[in-house]
Amino acid sequence: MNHIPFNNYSRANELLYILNATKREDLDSISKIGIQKVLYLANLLAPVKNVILSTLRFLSYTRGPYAPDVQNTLDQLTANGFVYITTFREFKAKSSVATYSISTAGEAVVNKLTVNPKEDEKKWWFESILKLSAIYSDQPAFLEGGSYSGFDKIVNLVYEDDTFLNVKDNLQFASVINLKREDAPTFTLINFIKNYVSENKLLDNGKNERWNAEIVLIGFFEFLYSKYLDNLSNE
Amino acid sequence: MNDRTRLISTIQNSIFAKLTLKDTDTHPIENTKLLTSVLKLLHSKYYQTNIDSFPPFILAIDNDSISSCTKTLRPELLEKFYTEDRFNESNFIEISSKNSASIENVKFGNFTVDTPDVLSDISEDNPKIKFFLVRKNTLELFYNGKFISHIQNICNENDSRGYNSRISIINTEDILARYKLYFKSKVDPIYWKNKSQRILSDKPERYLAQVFYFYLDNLIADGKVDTETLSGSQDNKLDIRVVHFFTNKVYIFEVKWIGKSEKTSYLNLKAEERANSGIEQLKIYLEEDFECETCVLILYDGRDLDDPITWVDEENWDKRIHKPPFRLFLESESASVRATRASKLNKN
Repeated sequence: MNHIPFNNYSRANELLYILNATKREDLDSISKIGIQKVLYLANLLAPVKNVILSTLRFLSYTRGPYAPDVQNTLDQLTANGFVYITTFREFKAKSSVATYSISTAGEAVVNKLTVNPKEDEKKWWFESILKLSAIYSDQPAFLEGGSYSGFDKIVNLVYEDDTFLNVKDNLQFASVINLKREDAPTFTLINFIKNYVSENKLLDNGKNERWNAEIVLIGFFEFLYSKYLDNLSNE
Repeated sequence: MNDRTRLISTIQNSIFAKLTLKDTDTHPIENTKLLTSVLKLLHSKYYQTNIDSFPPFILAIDNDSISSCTKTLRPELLEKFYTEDRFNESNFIEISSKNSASIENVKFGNFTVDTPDVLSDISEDNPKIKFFLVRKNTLELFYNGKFISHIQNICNENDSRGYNSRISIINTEDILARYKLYFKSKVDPIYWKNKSQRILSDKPERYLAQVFYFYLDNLIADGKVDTETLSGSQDNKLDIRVVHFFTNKVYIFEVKWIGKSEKTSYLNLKAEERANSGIEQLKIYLEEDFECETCVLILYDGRDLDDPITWVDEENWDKRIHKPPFRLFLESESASVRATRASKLNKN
């Protein structure tokens, strides 16, 4: 597929992994918001297993962290038949809601790419993040009401992330969120918990690194959910 | 609570973490999906509307069926059991890949279980099955013969999954003071067999230890709470241990009772001996556990009168033994009756 003129192959692959995981989870499709939040969480938590992903610039935005470059790649994938637009609604001149799903051609690309262990690692990572996002968007506190529905409720967890909140609260609109700054709250927290787990031998269970990374990932999702619950009770 | 403590607590103490840490057969994310599906089922409008009609029941979920749990664990499943009166024959709902939701009770037959002890034993014999004991809005989880975790009230997520009102294990005095208030206002007094005659049910220590364990598990912000009291017939293992996350110091709580039960009696001198044997037990723990920071005797007092205990050799106790021991007199009269009696005494 290298003849297709993508401006960023790595990013295109990652989007295909997200959409592939969406299908495997029996979700009909995923919205722009959902894709953006999965990308953000995948990048935010990547240091848990030192997964190397394509470089994305996330901006603090009205509806949470947003990486502007993603839309272009998504449009290219759609134009080339790897991705379908499942639903589309236009609200204002510049505002629209679209949901996406992977095509058979897109699935074939994923199957070919993941023969490479590095790509397989990325596929596993996005699958894990997407699965947990699907699980956590379905938590009891989100069952009723709210501004978001279905998978998009994962936004509620992203809004509990201090790395995003620090930028949103302290800087101007559309500021860059630097996820890997040494003093970025979540980056610091990940390093802390990795050391703690190692020093206290919490995960000496004979399982592989992916297995144990998933346990830490679950911990982070539950951590964000517990913050959401506590903030809810303080309102 | 700061973020570091919150995260460590989540990774060690949440029901999701406890299951994934103890189950190396099922993929961690699959287990998380299963737990969420169970919670969603119990939050369903159907169950919550009909909750008073549901007897205690058990979801017995085979590991091989977990991947399809989101499809299987639907309100229709409970409706089927309820409307077909299946609970009269057995309170097990078996879910396996062969029987997506069996109403034929293939594995467990016509059998009813509603206590953690028996379920723990059944769990030991069926190591690939996860057992969820559902009693109204309380959920207890057993796997591989072990009690894994519990949620006291699935509708109150702040208690089970939030951390706002939690405190540090270091504040032992505050913990005990709060427990006294909690016990009097919140604990179901099912430990009485005959309240008016002040006779406790048989082996009340199991229930009373569990109550204290559940309380600690929902209260401690910075420690791992562990007990054997909910696993099998461990009548002699009534200690509850809390390991502080940051120092690894251990806090031990030994649970004893005195008074009269259906089959045993610890009254008068026997009560004094029994209470003091608790202190001897703490001394043994201190010899065995060098990391122990504090140990506390939790003494439930079911005697007729709220009389103090004469503690033997108290001045020479190891300084890590909490003084005085925490004695909780078990009230058998309502607060209004006690208030009326006190008022009459004052007038006289």
